[in-house]
Amino acid sequence: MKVAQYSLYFSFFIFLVISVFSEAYAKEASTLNLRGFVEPVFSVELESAQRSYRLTSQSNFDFYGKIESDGLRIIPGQLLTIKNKKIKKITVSIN
Amino acid sequence: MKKLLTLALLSSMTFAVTDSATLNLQGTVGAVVDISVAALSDATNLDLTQSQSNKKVATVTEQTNTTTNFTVTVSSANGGKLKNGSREFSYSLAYGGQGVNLATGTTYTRNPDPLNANSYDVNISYTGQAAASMAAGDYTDVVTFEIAAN
Repeated sequence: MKVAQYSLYFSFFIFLVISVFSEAYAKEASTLNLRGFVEPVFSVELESAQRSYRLTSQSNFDFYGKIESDGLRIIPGQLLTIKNKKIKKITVSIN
Repeated sequence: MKKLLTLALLSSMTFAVTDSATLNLQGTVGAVVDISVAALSDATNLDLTQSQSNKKVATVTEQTNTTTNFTVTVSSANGGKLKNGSREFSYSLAYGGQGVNLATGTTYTRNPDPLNANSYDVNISYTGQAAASMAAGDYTDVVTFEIAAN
């Protein structure tokens, strides 16, 4: 009778162990990678105001480069005063 | 008469030493859960300058062998934002047609459906913004789908 009792206890113990392990592994995860992108854009706007010119540039990325107008180096956003000289071209160099 | 009594006594002694025992047999099938994500190419090619409404980006398949309810939790690594360094872009997800609270994560309770795989669409929505108003580059997030048997 004792043997049967111990057998019952042992069976219950095994059942508990299996249950715990089953519970521990009854979980799983999977991932979804999302990626969005924004293309780089750059624009230059030259605005004349009386005898001066305002050159503004806009970009959505950091860059090393320069903006030149007829050999004059222009800092984006800088207010230019060019006397008796017409701007023929603006060169933008982005490295 | 004496022989008969002796025989009866021996018979009763034989019956007195009879005993029985039982052997319990039990088999166990552990709980198994499975979840897989089949991402579409659009999931990693989202043009953030164009608005999207319920654009399908993946199909998620859930499967368990449990006979009790189970749960599926959807969460975002960035709380519902695609990130480019410190820059953020908000978006929303629907899972199986239901909105997901990506800021806190959303848990869905499923009824048991042992051995059957059930698939759900994942759809993304966001409002596109002009490229000039956002820093150029890649914006990313990782969405985790976790299934757990109760």
